[in-house]
Amino acid sequence: MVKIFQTTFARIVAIILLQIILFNNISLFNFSIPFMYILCILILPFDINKIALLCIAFVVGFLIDVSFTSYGVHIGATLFAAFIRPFVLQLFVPRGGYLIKTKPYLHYYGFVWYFKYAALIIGFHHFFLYFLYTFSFENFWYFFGYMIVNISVTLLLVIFSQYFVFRK
Amino acid sequence: MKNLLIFIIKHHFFLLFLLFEVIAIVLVVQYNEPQKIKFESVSNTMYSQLYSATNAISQYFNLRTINEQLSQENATLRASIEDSKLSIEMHSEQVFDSVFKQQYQYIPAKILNSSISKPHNYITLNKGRRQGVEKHMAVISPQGVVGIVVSVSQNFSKVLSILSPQFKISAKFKKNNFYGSVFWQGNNYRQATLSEIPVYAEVNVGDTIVTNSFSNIYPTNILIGLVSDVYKSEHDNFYNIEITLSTDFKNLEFVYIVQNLYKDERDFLELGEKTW
Repeated sequence: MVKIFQTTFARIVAIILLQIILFNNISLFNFSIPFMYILCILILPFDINKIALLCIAFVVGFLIDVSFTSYGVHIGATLFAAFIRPFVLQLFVPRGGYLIKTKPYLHYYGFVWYFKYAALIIGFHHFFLYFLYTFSFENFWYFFGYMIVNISVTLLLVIFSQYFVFRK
Repeated sequence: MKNLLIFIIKHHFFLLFLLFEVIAIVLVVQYNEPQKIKFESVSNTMYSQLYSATNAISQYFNLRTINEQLSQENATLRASIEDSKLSIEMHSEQVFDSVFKQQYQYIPAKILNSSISKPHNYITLNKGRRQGVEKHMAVISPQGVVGIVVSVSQNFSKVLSILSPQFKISAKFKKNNFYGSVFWQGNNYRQATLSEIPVYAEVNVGDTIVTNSFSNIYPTNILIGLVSDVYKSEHDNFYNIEITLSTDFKNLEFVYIVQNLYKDERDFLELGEKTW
């Protein structure tokens, strides 16, 4: 239990550092920054306390916001992603339920399950993020295209990370 | 209280999310300029909409008082219109109006000599060239039309009264704008004739006849008289109308000499074009 906590904590810190140092400086096609830090929410254990989940989301969002100097935007979006995570997990519960000693990784539940899980959370995260950025629904279709690209890139990187990092 | 606690415990996840989300949005609005501007504009719009809605409702409750005030104001305005008409045309020597330019000035005069029984009747007034009287000025009384100045000396003027067959005055009905000319037929100093009114005009005994704007001498809407008798002539399609002159020349002491300040301009335009 302590070990799980430690590894999860270490991974979250690593992901945040990676986001701030590396991914913040990548802008694909000149406008798409992959928000890999959403992995912090995705990798949390199934049975995590819901209050802890929201607190982690708040802290992660705050740290990312500091790096972008856009206080509140990433907090709001990450909180929203954390909020819908239990419902998404419930929606895609596999036959027989989630097993003990498993984590929400691609390795345990397969590509299709992971794709649905990650895509839904990343999608909601981005929608909320862009709403907080623009604070209106003007130019919605312009931002919609922007979002589709960004969601795809982020999702691609998240799935890659499942093959190369989070294997067990 | 217990129920509230149960509610909070039951929905603690959602409530905590809501709390954090509110904090996040407060931070967004506080520290991000574009979002702040948008938030403020939206909240301002909502506030002003609310304000106008409440205002509309409260106005509805005030309608009764507002109606009373408006009808009162209407009454005063109407009264003032009547007053001003009276003062322009009858009494006042000069009307100061900020909206309209002064067109007519009135010189009060006293009648020194007057006749009513001759074929051509003249009146002598105690105002002359020194007081600003000129030839072809109109003369009216509080009762109505009197005549026209035909000759002026230093201190006196001679007025051809309406009781003169050569004197025709353009006139119209007060109720509509059918116009004709009024002239005296030389028999009764209270009666004159109105001609050139077409038969399809509606004429009743008692209708008011006033001057119209065709004359460059008389102000419009000066009383001439009332219709006393109407009959159709046999050989054309015009009425012959007998009118009772409103001015009683036997009982006349004070009159006003009317000075048209724009007479020269209009004369120049109308007569000049004719000669051209």
